[in-house]
Amino acid sequence: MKLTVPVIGTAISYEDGGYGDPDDPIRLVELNLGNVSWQLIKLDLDEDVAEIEVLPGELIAEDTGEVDGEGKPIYAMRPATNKEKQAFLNYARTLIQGHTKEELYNMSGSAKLKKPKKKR
Amino acid sequence: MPLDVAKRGTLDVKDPPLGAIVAANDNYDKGYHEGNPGGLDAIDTDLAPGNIKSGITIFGKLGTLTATLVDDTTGSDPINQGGAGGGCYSGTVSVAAGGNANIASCTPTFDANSRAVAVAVIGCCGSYADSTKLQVIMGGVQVAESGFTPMCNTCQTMIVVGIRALSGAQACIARFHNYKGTGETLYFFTRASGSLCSGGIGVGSVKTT
Repeated sequence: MKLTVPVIGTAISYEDGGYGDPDDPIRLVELNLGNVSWQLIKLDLDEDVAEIEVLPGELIAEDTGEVDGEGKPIYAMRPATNKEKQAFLNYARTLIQGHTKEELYNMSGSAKLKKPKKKR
Repeated sequence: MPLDVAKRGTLDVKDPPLGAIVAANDNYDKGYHEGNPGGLDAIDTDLAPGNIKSGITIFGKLGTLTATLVDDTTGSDPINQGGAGGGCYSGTVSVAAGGNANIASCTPTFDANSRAVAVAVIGCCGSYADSTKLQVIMGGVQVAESGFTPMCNTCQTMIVVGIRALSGAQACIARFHNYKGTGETLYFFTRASGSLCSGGIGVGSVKTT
């Protein structure tokens, strides 16, 4: 599943599609997309967005109802069902596509991407 | 009536402009061209099959150029987490709420025409469900992110792969990000308490000639 997500951080160059500050890298707006993983397809520093390919998580944590010696709940990991995987993707899609770019920045509390001026 | 042969004509007839096709641009203006017996490739010697992509024909020149991939560079950094620990885990790292923890990085120097792959690998688990994720940063750009770190009593190997075009010296970093509102502690597992955990980041790249 492909999603287009706003990006934050500090861009230091437009070469090769863009380079960022390793201490404040160009990255997705810091919202929890849920139990999914993703890879970058394309970075667009004109629109300040990244197109990513999203995959559902393969495992899901289940509360066993027991607690450890420190009183923390003990979870067990099990394979996610196809229905659960689809729910993971639906959650990520709804979160991103259900809000405007401004709303996503506001929800995350992140500052917008800082970019150098482009040469004419 | 006889013609007045002393009258001089006043009709202004312009000669057509003399133009030329030049190698510096692709202008092809109206006008008179003297031509070139050697053809277009005499005007611009770069118009040659070896400079045209294979299978493409430009002004009758069928291209033969094919890109060749060759090795560029590699880099790696092991995770230096380890030390005294209880039970079967060795080493921990704390990640603040909403924060990050770099766990491995290297800075290879890439060719101008290279494409790099970075792989972050680690066996670990966390204290809380749905809290932290493993990320790969290449050239200051986040290129990949894992699913959630497994829970405390089910340590698993996490692998995250990123791909990017890079040139020059560029840092490639494996780090954890905590999406939860509370601090997280990650545990790295080894066979013997006190030894360094296995894992790190590896980078390789190829370039075209």
